Amino acid sequence: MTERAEQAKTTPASGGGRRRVSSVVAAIVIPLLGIAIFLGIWQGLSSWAGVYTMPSPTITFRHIADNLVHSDYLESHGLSTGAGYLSHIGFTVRNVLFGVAIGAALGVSVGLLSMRSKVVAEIATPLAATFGAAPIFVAAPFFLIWFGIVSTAQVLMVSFYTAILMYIFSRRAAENLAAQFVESALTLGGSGWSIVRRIYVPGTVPEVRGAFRVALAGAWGLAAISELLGSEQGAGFLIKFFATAFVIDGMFALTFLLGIVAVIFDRLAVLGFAYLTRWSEAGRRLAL
Amino acid sequence: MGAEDAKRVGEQVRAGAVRVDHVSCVFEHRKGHLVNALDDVTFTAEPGEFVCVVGPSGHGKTTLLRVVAGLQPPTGGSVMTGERSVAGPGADRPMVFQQDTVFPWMHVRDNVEFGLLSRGASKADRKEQSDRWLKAVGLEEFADSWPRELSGGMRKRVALAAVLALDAEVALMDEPFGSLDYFTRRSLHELLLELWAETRTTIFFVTHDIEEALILADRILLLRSGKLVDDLRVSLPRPRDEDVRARSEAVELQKVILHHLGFGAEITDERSLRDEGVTG
Repeated sequence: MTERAEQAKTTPASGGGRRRVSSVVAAIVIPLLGIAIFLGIWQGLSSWAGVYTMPSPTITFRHIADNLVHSDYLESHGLSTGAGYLSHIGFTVRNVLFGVAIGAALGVSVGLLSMRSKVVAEIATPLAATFGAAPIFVAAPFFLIWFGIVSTAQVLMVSFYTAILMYIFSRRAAENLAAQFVESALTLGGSGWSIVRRIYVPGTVPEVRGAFRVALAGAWGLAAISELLGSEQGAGFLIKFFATAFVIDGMFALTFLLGIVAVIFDRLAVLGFAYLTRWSEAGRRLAL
Repeated sequence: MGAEDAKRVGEQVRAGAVRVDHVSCVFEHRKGHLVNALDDVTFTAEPGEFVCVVGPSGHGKTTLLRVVAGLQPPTGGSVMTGERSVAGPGADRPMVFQQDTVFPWMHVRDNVEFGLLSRGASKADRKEQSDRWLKAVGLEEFADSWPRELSGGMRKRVALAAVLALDAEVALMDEPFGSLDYFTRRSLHELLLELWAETRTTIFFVTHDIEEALILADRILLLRSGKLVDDLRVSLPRPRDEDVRARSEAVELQKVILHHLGFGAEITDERSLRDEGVTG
Protein backbone atom coordinates (compact mmCIF):
# COMPACT_ATOMS: atom_id res chain seq x y z
CA MET A 1 0.00 0.00 0.00
CA THR A 2 1.45 3.40 -0.96
CA GLU A 3 1.99 6.12 1.60
CA ARG A 4 -0.76 8.21 0.06
CA ALA A 5 -3.24 5.35 0.22
CA GLU A 6 -2.25 4.66 3.80
CA GLN A 7 -2.75 8.31 4.64
CA ALA A 8 -6.14 8.33 2.93
CA LYS A 9 -7.19 5.35 4.99
CA THR A 10 -6.02 6.75 8.29
CA THR A 11 -7.09 10.39 7.94
CA PRO A 12 -10.86 9.83 8.29
CA ALA A 13 -10.24 7.47 11.22
CA SER A 14 -8.23 10.05 13.11
CA GLY A 15 -10.91 12.63 12.24
CA GLY A 16 -13.54 10.29 13.71
CA GLY A 17 -11.39 9.90 16.82
CA ARG A 18 -11.22 13.65 17.21
CA ARG A 19 -14.98 13.87 16.87
CA ARG A 20 -15.45 11.18 19.54
CA VAL A 21 -13.12 13.05 21.92
CA SER A 22 -14.93 16.32 21.31
CA SER A 23 -18.35 14.71 21.92
CA VAL A 24 -17.09 13.23 25.22
CA VAL A 25 -15.77 16.66 26.19
CA ALA A 26 -19.15 18.24 25.32
CA ALA A 27 -21.18 15.59 27.16
CA ILE A 28 -19.12 15.06 30.32
CA VAL A 29 -16.16 17.37 30.81
CA ILE A 30 -17.92 20.69 30.16
CA PRO A 31 -20.88 19.99 32.52
CA LEU A 32 -18.41 18.81 35.18
CA LEU A 33 -16.43 21.99 34.66
CA GLY A 34 -19.64 24.00 35.13
CA ILE A 35 -20.38 22.21 38.40
CA ALA A 36 -16.80 22.76 39.57
CA ILE A 37 -17.04 26.49 38.82
CA PHE A 38 -20.39 26.67 40.68
CA LEU A 39 -18.93 24.90 43.72
CA GLY A 40 -15.83 27.09 43.57
CA ILE A 41 -17.91 30.28 43.59
CA TRP A 42 -20.08 28.89 46.41
CA GLN A 43 -16.97 28.01 48.44
CA GLY A 44 -15.49 31.45 47.76
CA LEU A 45 -18.66 33.27 48.84
CA SER A 46 -18.87 31.09 51.94
CA SER A 47 -15.30 31.98 52.89
CA TRP A 48 -16.04 35.65 52.29
CA ALA A 49 -19.41 35.78 54.10
CA GLY A 50 -18.66 33.25 56.83
CA VAL A 51 -20.09 29.76 57.29
CA TYR A 52 -22.82 30.95 59.68
CA THR A 53 -24.27 33.18 56.99
CA MET A 54 -23.48 30.98 54.03
CA PRO A 55 -22.48 27.39 54.78
CA SER A 56 -19.83 25.97 52.49
CA PRO A 57 -20.56 23.12 50.08
CA THR A 58 -18.73 20.71 52.39
CA ILE A 59 -20.89 21.64 55.39
CA THR A 60 -24.07 21.49 53.31
CA PHE A 61 -23.27 18.08 51.80
CA ARG A 62 -22.35 16.70 55.26
CA HIS A 63 -25.68 18.00 56.57
CA ILE A 64 -27.52 16.28 53.72
CA ALA A 65 -25.66 13.00 54.28
CA ASP A 66 -26.52 13.10 58.02
CA ASN A 67 -30.24 13.85 57.51
CA LEU A 68 -31.32 12.61 54.13
CA VAL A 69 -32.81 9.22 54.99
CA HIS A 70 -32.94 9.40 58.78
CA SER A 71 -32.74 12.59 60.82
CA ASP A 72 -32.13 12.61 64.55
CA TYR A 73 -32.52 16.38 64.44
CA LEU A 74 -36.05 16.22 63.03
CA GLU A 75 -36.95 13.43 65.43
CA SER A 76 -35.64 15.37 68.42
CA HIS A 77 -37.81 18.33 67.44
CA GLY A 78 -40.90 16.19 66.94
CA LEU A 79 -40.95 16.77 63.20
CA SER A 80 -40.74 13.13 62.23
CA THR A 81 -40.62 9.68 63.70
CA GLY A 82 -37.25 8.82 62.32
CA ALA A 83 -37.72 9.80 58.69
CA GLY A 84 -35.26 12.21 57.11
CA TYR A 85 -35.49 14.97 54.50
CA LEU A 86 -36.40 12.49 51.80
CA SER A 87 -39.91 11.99 53.14
CA HIS A 88 -40.51 15.78 53.17
CA ILE A 89 -39.03 16.13 49.68
CA GLY A 90 -41.27 13.23 48.62
CA PHE A 91 -44.32 15.11 49.92
CA THR A 92 -43.40 18.17 47.86
CA VAL A 93 -42.62 16.05 44.78
CA ARG A 94 -46.00 14.30 45.01
CA ASN A 95 -47.87 17.63 45.28
CA VAL A 96 -45.96 19.15 42.39
CA LEU A 97 -46.43 16.13 40.10
CA PHE A 98 -50.14 15.80 40.86
CA GLY A 99 -50.68 19.53 40.51
CA VAL A 100 -48.74 19.85 37.25
CA ALA A 101 -50.41 16.74 35.76
CA ILE A 102 -53.94 17.94 36.60
CA GLY A 103 -53.22 21.53 35.55
CA ALA A 104 -51.50 20.56 32.28
CA ALA A 105 -54.27 18.13 31.31
CA LEU A 106 -56.95 20.72 32.08
CA GLY A 107 -55.15 23.69 30.50
CA VAL A 108 -54.18 21.88 27.29
CA SER A 109 -57.60 20.26 26.88
CA VAL A 110 -59.51 23.51 27.29
CA GLY A 111 -56.95 25.44 25.23
CA LEU A 112 -57.23 23.07 22.26
CA LEU A 113 -60.97 22.58 22.56
CA SER A 114 -61.39 26.35 22.50
CA MET A 115 -60.03 26.25 18.93
CA ARG A 116 -62.95 24.08 17.82
CA SER A 117 -65.67 25.44 20.12
CA LYS A 118 -66.59 29.11 20.22
CA VAL A 119 -68.48 28.62 23.49
CA VAL A 120 -65.43 27.12 25.22
CA ALA A 121 -63.24 29.94 23.86
CA GLU A 122 -65.64 32.66 24.99
CA ILE A 123 -65.83 31.25 28.50
CA ALA A 124 -62.19 30.26 29.00
CA THR A 125 -60.29 33.16 27.42
CA PRO A 126 -61.52 35.98 29.70
CA LEU A 127 -61.11 33.73 32.74
CA ALA A 128 -57.53 32.88 31.77
CA ALA A 129 -56.79 36.55 31.06
CA THR A 130 -58.18 37.64 34.45
CA PHE A 131 -56.58 34.93 36.57
CA GLY A 132 -53.40 34.94 34.51
CA ALA A 133 -52.90 38.63 35.25
CA ALA A 134 -53.27 38.19 39.05
CA PRO A 135 -50.13 36.92 40.81
CA ILE A 136 -50.79 33.37 41.99
CA PHE A 137 -49.17 34.16 45.36
CA VAL A 138 -52.08 36.51 46.11
CA ALA A 139 -54.40 33.51 45.86
CA ALA A 140 -52.29 31.33 48.17
CA PRO A 141 -53.92 32.47 51.45
CA PHE A 142 -57.38 31.77 49.99
CA PHE A 143 -56.40 28.24 49.05
CA LEU A 144 -55.08 27.66 52.55
CA ILE A 145 -58.27 29.04 54.14
CA TRP A 146 -60.53 27.02 51.84
CA PHE A 147 -58.66 23.73 51.87
CA GLY A 148 -56.62 23.89 55.08
CA ILE A 149 -53.01 22.94 55.54
CA VAL A 150 -53.37 19.52 53.95
CA SER A 151 -51.78 18.82 50.58
CA THR A 152 -55.02 19.62 48.69
CA ALA A 153 -54.24 23.34 48.91
CA GLN A 154 -50.73 22.86 47.48
CA VAL A 155 -51.94 20.57 44.69
CA LEU A 156 -54.74 22.96 43.71
CA MET A 157 -52.44 25.97 43.74
CA VAL A 158 -49.98 24.25 41.44
CA SER A 159 -52.83 22.96 39.24
CA PHE A 160 -54.36 26.41 38.98
CA TYR A 161 -51.07 28.04 38.02
CA THR A 162 -50.20 25.28 35.54
CA ALA A 163 -53.66 25.22 33.96
CA ILE A 164 -53.65 28.99 33.26
CA LEU A 165 -50.16 28.86 31.77
CA MET A 166 -50.85 25.77 29.66
CA TYR A 167 -54.20 27.14 28.45
CA ILE A 168 -52.59 30.33 27.18
CA PHE A 169 -49.67 28.56 25.53
CA SER A 170 -51.59 25.62 24.06
CA ARG A 171 -54.13 27.99 22.54
CA ARG A 172 -51.36 30.11 21.10
CA ALA A 173 -49.65 26.97 19.77
CA ALA A 174 -52.90 25.86 18.14
CA GLU A 175 -53.34 29.31 16.58
CA ASN A 176 -49.79 29.10 15.23
CA LEU A 177 -50.31 25.61 13.83
CA ALA A 178 -50.47 25.95 10.05
CA ALA A 179 -54.13 26.32 9.08
CA GLN A 180 -53.67 24.04 6.09
CA PHE A 181 -53.13 21.03 8.39
CA VAL A 182 -56.60 21.51 9.84
CA GLU A 183 -58.11 22.25 6.42
CA SER A 184 -56.44 19.19 4.93
CA ALA A 185 -57.80 17.06 7.78
CA LEU A 186 -61.28 18.49 7.20
CA THR A 187 -61.24 17.64 3.50
CA LEU A 188 -60.05 14.12 4.37
CA GLY A 189 -63.12 13.64 6.56
CA GLY A 190 -61.77 14.68 9.97
CA SER A 191 -64.12 16.55 12.28
CA GLY A 192 -64.60 17.81 15.84
CA TRP A 193 -62.83 15.75 18.44
CA SER A 194 -60.75 13.77 15.93
CA ILE A 195 -59.22 17.03 14.66
CA VAL A 196 -58.34 18.04 18.23
CA ARG A 197 -56.89 14.61 19.07
CA ARG A 198 -55.07 13.86 15.84
CA ILE A 199 -54.06 17.31 14.60
CA TYR A 200 -54.00 19.87 17.40
CA VAL A 201 -52.60 17.67 20.17
CA PRO A 202 -49.57 16.23 18.33
CA GLY A 203 -49.07 19.36 16.23
CA THR A 204 -48.80 21.68 19.22
CA VAL A 205 -46.53 19.52 21.39
CA PRO A 206 -43.29 21.21 20.22
CA GLU A 207 -44.59 24.65 21.19
CA VAL A 208 -46.29 23.49 24.40
CA ARG A 209 -43.06 21.80 25.50
CA GLY A 210 -41.48 25.10 26.57
CA ALA A 211 -44.56 26.17 28.52
CA PHE A 212 -44.67 22.84 30.34
CA ARG A 213 -41.06 23.18 31.43
CA VAL A 214 -41.70 26.73 32.65
CA ALA A 215 -44.79 25.51 34.54
CA LEU A 216 -42.86 22.62 36.08
CA ALA A 217 -39.97 24.85 37.12
CA GLY A 218 -42.37 27.39 38.64
CA ALA A 219 -44.35 24.66 40.39
CA TRP A 220 -41.42 23.76 42.68
CA GLY A 221 -41.19 27.32 43.94
CA LEU A 222 -44.96 27.60 44.24
CA ALA A 223 -45.29 24.36 46.20
CA ALA A 224 -42.45 25.37 48.51
CA ILE A 225 -43.97 28.81 49.12
CA SER A 226 -47.40 27.35 49.84
CA GLU A 227 -45.72 25.02 52.35
CA LEU A 228 -43.96 28.01 53.87
CA LEU A 229 -47.31 29.73 54.32
CA GLY A 230 -49.08 26.80 55.88
CA SER A 231 -48.21 23.12 55.94
CA GLU A 232 -47.01 20.46 58.35
CA GLN A 233 -44.86 18.66 55.80
CA GLY A 234 -42.71 19.31 52.79
CA ALA A 235 -39.47 20.99 51.84
CA GLY A 236 -40.97 24.47 52.23
CA PHE A 237 -42.25 23.63 55.71
CA LEU A 238 -38.75 22.48 56.78
CA ILE A 239 -37.10 25.55 55.28
CA LYS A 240 -39.48 27.75 57.29
CA PHE A 241 -38.74 25.73 60.44
CA PHE A 242 -34.98 26.02 59.89
CA ALA A 243 -35.30 29.75 59.24
CA THR A 244 -37.11 30.17 62.55
CA ALA A 245 -34.49 28.08 64.35
CA PHE A 246 -31.66 29.79 62.39
CA VAL A 247 -30.35 26.45 61.06
CA ILE A 248 -28.74 27.96 57.99
CA ASP A 249 -27.04 24.76 56.81
CA GLY A 250 -30.44 22.97 56.97
CA MET A 251 -32.00 25.72 54.81
CA PHE A 252 -29.18 25.41 52.31
CA ALA A 253 -29.43 21.63 52.29
CA LEU A 254 -33.19 21.66 51.59
CA THR A 255 -32.87 24.36 48.92
CA PHE A 256 -30.05 22.44 47.26
CA LEU A 257 -32.02 19.16 47.38
CA LEU A 258 -35.10 20.82 45.93
CA GLY A 259 -32.95 22.24 43.13
CA ILE A 260 -31.51 18.80 42.35
CA VAL A 261 -35.00 17.26 42.29
CA ALA A 262 -36.24 20.05 39.99
CA VAL A 263 -33.34 19.46 37.60
CA ILE A 264 -33.99 15.69 37.55
CA PHE A 265 -37.68 16.15 36.72
CA ASP A 266 -36.87 18.78 34.12
CA ARG A 267 -34.51 16.29 32.44
CA LEU A 268 -37.25 13.64 32.56
CA ALA A 269 -39.67 16.13 30.97
CA VAL A 270 -37.12 16.86 28.24
CA LEU A 271 -36.76 13.12 27.55
CA GLY A 272 -40.55 12.66 27.50
CA PHE A 273 -41.00 15.51 25.05
CA ALA A 274 -38.11 14.25 22.95
CA TYR A 275 -40.08 11.02 22.54
CA LEU A 276 -43.34 12.82 21.78
CA THR A 277 -41.67 15.05 19.18
CA ARG A 278 -39.40 12.38 17.68
CA TRP A 279 -41.08 13.08 14.34
CA SER A 280 -39.51 16.54 14.20
CA GLU A 281 -35.87 17.37 13.56
CA ALA A 282 -35.63 19.14 16.93
CA GLY A 283 -37.17 16.12 18.69
CA ARG A 284 -34.75 13.77 16.97
CA ARG A 285 -31.81 15.87 18.14
CA LEU A 286 -33.18 15.96 21.70
CA ALA A 287 -33.63 12.19 21.69
CA LEU A 288 -29.99 11.78 20.68
CA MET B 1 -74.78 5.95 7.76
CA GLY B 2 -75.47 2.39 6.66
CA ALA B 3 -73.76 0.65 3.78
CA GLU B 4 -76.81 1.04 1.57
CA ASP B 5 -77.06 4.76 2.34
CA ALA B 6 -73.38 5.21 1.65
CA LYS B 7 -73.72 3.39 -1.66
CA ARG B 8 -76.74 5.48 -2.62
CA VAL B 9 -74.95 8.75 -1.79
CA GLY B 10 -71.93 7.54 -3.75
CA GLU B 11 -74.13 6.91 -6.78
CA GLN B 12 -75.60 10.41 -6.56
CA VAL B 13 -72.12 11.92 -6.50
CA ARG B 14 -71.04 9.71 -9.38
CA ALA B 15 -74.13 10.60 -11.38
CA GLY B 16 -73.91 14.36 -11.05
CA ALA B 17 -70.23 15.15 -10.60
CA VAL B 18 -69.89 18.84 -9.72
CA ARG B 19 -72.14 21.74 -10.65
CA VAL B 20 -70.97 25.27 -9.87
CA ASP B 21 -73.99 27.53 -10.27
CA HIS B 22 -73.62 31.34 -10.42
CA VAL B 23 -71.04 31.32 -7.64
CA SER B 24 -69.79 34.65 -6.38
CA CYS B 25 -67.41 35.36 -3.59
CA VAL B 26 -66.95 38.88 -2.34
CA PHE B 27 -64.37 39.76 0.28
CA GLU B 28 -64.23 43.00 2.18
CA HIS B 29 -60.76 44.44 1.93
CA ARG B 30 -59.35 45.80 5.14
CA LYS B 31 -59.59 49.35 3.74
CA GLY B 32 -63.33 48.86 3.27
CA HIS B 33 -63.69 48.31 -0.45
CA LEU B 34 -65.13 45.06 -1.78
CA VAL B 35 -63.14 42.56 -3.85
CA ASN B 36 -64.92 40.18 -6.22
CA ALA B 37 -62.78 37.07 -5.89
CA LEU B 38 -65.37 35.13 -7.90
CA ASP B 39 -67.96 36.78 -10.08
CA ASP B 40 -70.95 34.72 -11.21
CA VAL B 41 -69.00 31.59 -12.12
CA THR B 42 -71.06 28.78 -13.65
CA PHE B 43 -69.97 25.42 -15.11
CA THR B 44 -70.57 21.72 -14.68
CA ALA B 45 -67.76 19.18 -14.47
CA GLU B 46 -68.76 15.80 -15.83
CA PRO B 47 -67.85 12.63 -13.96
CA GLY B 48 -64.29 11.50 -14.62
CA GLU B 49 -63.16 14.76 -16.22
CA PHE B 50 -59.74 16.23 -15.59
CA VAL B 51 -60.46 19.94 -15.27
CA CYS B 52 -57.62 22.44 -14.96
CA VAL B 53 -58.39 25.92 -13.66
CA VAL B 54 -55.88 28.35 -15.13
CA GLY B 55 -55.34 32.00 -14.48
CA PRO B 56 -52.84 34.49 -13.09
CA SER B 57 -52.18 34.62 -9.35
CA GLY B 58 -54.85 36.47 -7.38
CA HIS B 59 -57.60 36.00 -9.97
CA GLY B 60 -59.78 33.55 -8.04
CA LYS B 61 -58.46 30.06 -8.88
CA THR B 62 -57.79 28.98 -5.31
CA THR B 63 -60.98 30.66 -4.07
CA LEU B 64 -62.97 28.63 -6.60
CA LEU B 65 -61.34 25.43 -5.42
CA ARG B 66 -61.93 26.32 -1.76
CA VAL B 67 -65.59 27.01 -2.49
CA VAL B 68 -65.94 23.58 -4.14
CA ALA B 69 -64.06 22.04 -1.18
CA GLY B 70 -66.48 23.72 1.22
CA LEU B 71 -63.66 25.56 2.97
CA GLN B 72 -64.95 28.94 1.77
CA PRO B 73 -68.68 29.63 1.70
CA PRO B 74 -69.71 31.56 -1.42
CA THR B 75 -71.50 34.89 -1.00
CA GLY B 76 -73.79 33.95 -3.87
CA GLY B 77 -74.75 30.89 -5.87
CA SER B 78 -74.27 27.26 -4.97
CA VAL B 79 -72.12 24.19 -5.55
CA MET B 80 -73.73 20.78 -5.96
CA THR B 81 -72.11 17.37 -5.94
CA GLY B 82 -74.69 14.89 -7.16
CA GLU B 83 -77.95 15.88 -5.51
CA ARG B 84 -76.24 17.38 -2.50
CA SER B 85 -75.45 21.01 -1.94
CA VAL B 86 -71.93 21.66 -0.64
CA ALA B 87 -72.25 23.08 2.86
CA GLY B 88 -68.78 22.36 4.21
CA PRO B 89 -65.66 20.28 3.72
CA GLY B 90 -65.98 16.51 3.50
CA ALA B 91 -64.23 13.33 2.46
CA ASP B 92 -66.24 13.21 -0.79
CA ARG B 93 -64.05 16.12 -2.01
CA PRO B 94 -60.55 15.58 -0.57
CA MET B 95 -57.90 18.12 -1.47
CA VAL B 96 -54.16 18.19 -2.13
CA PHE B 97 -52.86 21.58 -1.09
CA GLN B 98 -50.13 23.75 -2.54
CA GLN B 99 -48.37 23.76 0.83
CA ASP B 100 -46.92 20.68 2.42
CA THR B 101 -49.89 19.27 4.34
CA VAL B 102 -48.64 15.78 5.03
CA PHE B 103 -48.92 15.56 8.81
CA PRO B 104 -45.31 15.49 10.05
CA TRP B 105 -46.25 13.78 13.34
CA MET B 106 -47.70 10.72 11.61
CA HIS B 107 -45.83 7.96 9.85
CA VAL B 108 -46.37 7.81 6.10
CA ARG B 109 -48.84 4.93 6.45
CA ASP B 110 -50.87 6.79 9.08
CA ASN B 111 -51.07 9.79 6.76
CA VAL B 112 -52.50 7.63 3.98
CA GLU B 113 -54.94 6.03 6.42
CA PHE B 114 -56.09 9.34 7.99
CA GLY B 115 -59.26 9.69 5.92
CA LEU B 116 -60.05 5.99 6.15
CA LEU B 117 -59.78 6.12 9.93
CA SER B 118 -62.00 9.22 10.02
CA ARG B 119 -64.53 7.28 7.96
CA GLY B 120 -64.43 4.44 10.51
CA ALA B 121 -62.77 1.83 8.30
CA SER B 122 -61.51 -1.30 10.05
CA LYS B 123 -57.81 -1.78 10.72
CA ALA B 124 -57.58 -4.56 8.13
CA ASP B 125 -59.34 -2.43 5.52
CA ARG B 126 -57.09 0.53 6.26
CA LYS B 127 -53.99 -1.63 5.95
CA GLU B 128 -55.20 -3.09 2.67
CA GLN B 129 -55.96 0.33 1.21
CA SER B 130 -52.75 1.97 2.45
CA ASP B 131 -50.68 -0.93 1.06
CA ARG B 132 -52.43 -0.55 -2.28
CA TRP B 133 -51.99 3.20 -2.56
CA LEU B 134 -48.47 3.32 -1.17
CA LYS B 135 -47.52 0.79 -3.83
CA ALA B 136 -49.37 2.82 -6.47
CA VAL B 137 -47.31 5.91 -5.65
CA GLY B 138 -44.09 3.92 -5.27
CA LEU B 139 -43.63 4.42 -1.54
CA GLU B 140 -44.35 0.98 -0.13
CA GLU B 141 -40.84 0.85 1.34
CA PHE B 142 -41.41 4.11 3.19
CA ALA B 143 -44.63 3.18 4.99
CA ASP B 144 -42.99 3.42 8.40
CA SER B 145 -40.92 6.53 7.68
CA TRP B 146 -41.54 9.96 9.12
CA PRO B 147 -42.42 12.62 6.52
CA ARG B 148 -39.24 14.56 7.41
CA GLU B 149 -37.27 11.62 6.02
CA LEU B 150 -38.85 12.07 2.58
CA SER B 151 -38.14 14.55 -0.21
CA GLY B 152 -40.71 17.18 -1.21
CA GLY B 153 -41.77 15.10 -4.21
CA MET B 154 -42.22 11.99 -2.06
CA ARG B 155 -44.37 13.93 0.40
CA LYS B 156 -46.58 15.01 -2.50
CA ARG B 157 -46.96 11.34 -3.41
CA VAL B 158 -48.08 10.67 0.17
CA ALA B 159 -50.64 13.46 -0.12
CA LEU B 160 -51.89 11.99 -3.41
CA ALA B 161 -52.15 8.52 -1.88
CA ALA B 162 -54.09 9.89 1.11
CA VAL B 163 -56.60 11.57 -1.21
CA LEU B 164 -56.97 8.68 -3.64
CA ALA B 165 -57.28 6.09 -0.84
CA LEU B 166 -60.65 7.66 -0.03
CA ASP B 167 -61.97 6.52 -3.42
CA ALA B 168 -63.87 9.80 -3.70
CA GLU B 169 -65.61 10.77 -6.92
CA VAL B 170 -64.03 14.23 -6.86
CA ALA B 171 -60.46 15.22 -5.96
CA LEU B 172 -59.30 18.82 -5.64
CA MET B 173 -55.71 19.91 -6.24
CA ASP B 174 -54.47 23.42 -5.60
CA GLU B 175 -51.18 23.87 -7.45
CA PRO B 176 -49.96 20.70 -5.77
CA PHE B 177 -46.67 20.52 -7.65
CA GLY B 178 -45.96 24.25 -7.76
CA SER B 179 -43.08 24.13 -5.30
CA LEU B 180 -41.29 21.19 -6.95
CA ASP B 181 -38.49 21.17 -9.49
CA TYR B 182 -39.28 20.56 -13.15
CA PHE B 183 -38.19 16.92 -13.28
CA THR B 184 -40.04 15.91 -10.11
CA ARG B 185 -43.10 17.75 -11.39
CA ARG B 186 -43.00 15.87 -14.70
CA SER B 187 -42.73 12.50 -12.99
CA LEU B 188 -45.66 13.41 -10.75
CA HIS B 189 -47.70 14.44 -13.80
CA GLU B 190 -47.16 10.96 -15.22
CA LEU B 191 -48.06 9.32 -11.93
CA LEU B 192 -51.19 11.44 -11.52
CA LEU B 193 -52.36 10.65 -15.05
CA GLU B 194 -51.79 6.92 -14.49
CA LEU B 195 -53.80 7.00 -11.26
CA TRP B 196 -56.52 9.12 -12.83
CA ALA B 197 -56.80 6.68 -15.75
CA GLU B 198 -57.21 3.90 -13.19
CA THR B 199 -59.71 5.62 -10.89
CA ARG B 200 -61.49 8.02 -13.29
CA THR B 201 -61.92 10.43 -10.41
CA THR B 202 -63.16 13.88 -11.41
CA ILE B 203 -60.13 16.10 -10.79
CA PHE B 204 -60.11 19.85 -10.33
CA PHE B 205 -56.53 20.99 -10.71
CA VAL B 206 -55.57 24.61 -10.16
CA THR B 207 -52.42 25.84 -11.88
CA HIS B 208 -50.94 28.99 -13.35
CA ASP B 209 -48.66 26.88 -15.56
CA ILE B 210 -50.14 26.57 -19.07
CA GLU B 211 -47.81 23.71 -20.00
CA GLU B 212 -48.98 21.77 -16.95
CA ALA B 213 -52.61 22.35 -17.94
CA LEU B 214 -51.90 21.14 -21.50
CA ILE B 215 -50.25 17.97 -20.20
CA LEU B 216 -53.07 17.12 -17.80
CA ALA B 217 -56.42 18.57 -18.75
CA ASP B 218 -59.48 17.38 -20.63
CA ARG B 219 -60.82 20.81 -20.13
CA ILE B 220 -59.34 24.15 -19.14
CA LEU B 221 -61.33 26.82 -17.31
CA LEU B 222 -59.81 30.27 -17.63
CA LEU B 223 -60.31 32.64 -14.74
CA ARG B 224 -59.52 36.30 -14.98
CA SER B 225 -60.46 38.84 -12.31
CA GLY B 226 -62.81 36.29 -10.76
CA LYS B 227 -64.75 35.73 -14.01
CA LEU B 228 -64.83 32.54 -16.02
CA VAL B 229 -63.62 33.95 -19.33
CA ASP B 230 -63.48 30.69 -21.29
CA ASP B 231 -64.08 26.99 -21.00
CA LEU B 232 -61.79 25.13 -23.40
CA ARG B 233 -61.95 21.43 -24.21
CA VAL B 234 -58.54 19.93 -24.97
CA SER B 235 -58.66 17.08 -27.42
CA LEU B 236 -54.93 16.61 -27.88
CA PRO B 237 -54.00 12.91 -27.84
CA ARG B 238 -52.49 11.42 -24.70
CA PRO B 239 -49.76 11.04 -23.60
CA ARG B 240 -49.01 14.66 -24.28
CA ASP B 241 -45.26 14.55 -24.60
CA GLU B 242 -43.06 17.29 -26.06
CA ASP B 243 -43.96 16.29 -29.64
CA VAL B 244 -47.70 16.54 -28.99
CA ARG B 245 -47.27 19.86 -27.19
CA ALA B 246 -45.26 21.17 -30.12
CA ARG B 247 -48.11 20.58 -32.57
CA SER B 248 -49.73 23.61 -34.08
CA GLU B 249 -53.06 23.05 -32.29
CA ALA B 250 -51.29 22.96 -28.93
CA VAL B 251 -49.39 26.12 -29.75
CA GLU B 252 -52.62 27.81 -30.88
CA LEU B 253 -54.32 26.69 -27.69
CA GLN B 254 -51.56 28.32 -25.68
CA LYS B 255 -52.14 31.50 -27.66
CA VAL B 256 -55.86 31.36 -26.95
CA ILE B 257 -55.17 30.96 -23.24
CA LEU B 258 -52.67 33.81 -23.19
CA HIS B 259 -55.03 35.99 -25.21
CA HIS B 260 -57.93 35.37 -22.82
CA LEU B 261 -55.73 36.05 -19.85
CA GLY B 262 -54.79 39.45 -21.30
CA PHE B 263 -51.38 38.80 -22.76
CA GLY B 264 -52.31 39.90 -26.27
CA ALA B 265 -51.13 36.85 -28.20
CA GLU B 266 -52.39 36.68 -31.74
CA ILE B 267 -54.78 33.82 -32.43
CA THR B 268 -56.00 32.30 -35.64
CA ASP B 269 -59.74 32.28 -36.32
CA GLU B 270 -61.92 30.13 -34.11
CA ARG B 271 -62.97 27.80 -36.92
CA SER B 272 -59.43 26.69 -37.66
CA LEU B 273 -58.86 26.06 -33.96
CA ARG B 274 -61.87 23.79 -33.84
CA ASP B 275 -60.59 21.97 -36.91
CA GLU B 276 -57.28 21.41 -35.14
CA GLY B 277 -58.81 19.87 -32.04
CA VAL B 278 -59.22 22.86 -29.74
CA THR B 279 -62.83 23.53 -28.83
CA GLY B 280 -64.26 26.25 -26.65
